[in-house]
Amino acid sequence: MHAQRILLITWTGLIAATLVSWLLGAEHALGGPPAAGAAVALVLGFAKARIVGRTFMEISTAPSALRWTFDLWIVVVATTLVVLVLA
Amino acid sequence: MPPAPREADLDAGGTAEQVPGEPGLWLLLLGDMTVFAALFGAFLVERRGDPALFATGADDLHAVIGLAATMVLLTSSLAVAVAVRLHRSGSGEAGARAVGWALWCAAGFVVLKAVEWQAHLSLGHSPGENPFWTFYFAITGLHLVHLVIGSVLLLGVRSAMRRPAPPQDRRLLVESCTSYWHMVDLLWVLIFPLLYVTGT
Repeated sequence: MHAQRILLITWTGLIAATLVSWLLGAEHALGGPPAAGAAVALVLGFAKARIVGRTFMEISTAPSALRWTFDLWIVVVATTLVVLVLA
Repeated sequence: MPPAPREADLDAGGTAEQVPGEPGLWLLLLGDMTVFAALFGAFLVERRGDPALFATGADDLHAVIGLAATMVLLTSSLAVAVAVRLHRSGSGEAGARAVGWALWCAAGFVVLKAVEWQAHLSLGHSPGENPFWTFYFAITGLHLVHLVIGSVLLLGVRSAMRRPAPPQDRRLLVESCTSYWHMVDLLWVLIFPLLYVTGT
């Protein structure tokens, strides 16, 4: 079924991104750059959260007001947290 | 570019753009997410004040358990999303079974959290020890409360899917409860890098 295949592909991508995040943490534990790795992991987290919202929660097919509000939340919170990590 | 209409909406002759669940619920979901966002921000602000203390605390976290918890919750979200599509297409019983898988994932998450907390508490860490552990227990504890609420809602969704009735009659209930569950997953997807990856 087409819709379920999309969900499965989405899940596979989210799992892969989670592993990348985890490897970033492991790399830092081995002496990698702390702030940059942390920022990348956070940005990846917000990208994943947006995918969860748009695909699993079906925000991508919701009215534009909800789509824009959700995206605005992602951008504002992600930017604030990344600045707090990097600055 | 306008979003693609949902297949089931078109099949049912419904509108192409539809708010998932009760529209008013989204105020609660976005409000809840913002409370967590404020906690995340406060955590990072506090960390800037004493990075050494936060690094020491984060070193004691079990990233593998955080990783496993993330995978378990993402899998639960997949099961719930599949359940919603199955229910919408008229396969209520199959949808209920998919919700059952999500509930097993929820139980797995609770076990992982119990193991993790037990390990920390046995080492003498407690919410009152220092700001790092206060934030750790507050963020993961508040999330766990949301997960338990979400699990109860999923139990209701599973029962509803099993009752013979047209899917459209239960659309608001099913989509509202499952949206709440996805929010629980979405928040953990942010907690994982914040505590387990960026904190070290």
